[in-house]
Amino acid sequence: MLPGIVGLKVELSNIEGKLKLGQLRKKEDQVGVYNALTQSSNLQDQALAHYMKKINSGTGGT
Amino acid sequence: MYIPSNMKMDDLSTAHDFIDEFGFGVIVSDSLTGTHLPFVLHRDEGDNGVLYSHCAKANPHWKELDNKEVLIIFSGPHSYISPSWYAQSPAVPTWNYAAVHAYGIVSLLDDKQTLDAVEAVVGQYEPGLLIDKNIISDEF
Repeated sequence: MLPGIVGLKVELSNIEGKLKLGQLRKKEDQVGVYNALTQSSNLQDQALAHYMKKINSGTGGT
Repeated sequence: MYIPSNMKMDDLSTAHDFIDEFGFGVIVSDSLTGTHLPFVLHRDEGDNGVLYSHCAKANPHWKELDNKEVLIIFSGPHSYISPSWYAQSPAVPTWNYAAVHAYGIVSLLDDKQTLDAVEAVVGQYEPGLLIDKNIISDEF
């Protein structure tokens, strides 16, 4: 296997992260979004809700 | 990436946690070539952490990476947001998401270091595979 691959190392000079999770909206709006995502059958919606809950952002405190 | 100050991940550990969870990124170099790879973060190395990965030599992208600055894009969960979900109207649809952009200088690894990088990926996603030699033998 090794002859066919090459390893990479990246020493990081900068990392920037963005959270656009509706966390700046009014609490009632956040609750509505979080509940809709949680109850959705769409797996992407559920994954987003799971992450919002995990980092406690955009859930309206629910 | 455009990040309004009130949407910025507030500390390095939040961004590191994000990479640990959503480590399948796109490495982009000067030529605007992008390669999708799983990355493993060693957060205690260097000032901002060090990422390890490996790619197929058949992919010529690696030939232009050594000692070059790259952008590695990590996408997280994302989804369409209906305005009907808000308590207040009128409102418009939007897309919500989280993302991390990591910048750094690439070093190509020798065979021994490459093996370590491969084992780091397997160790993160299926550690049992490093023990069970029936599935991956030592010859690999």
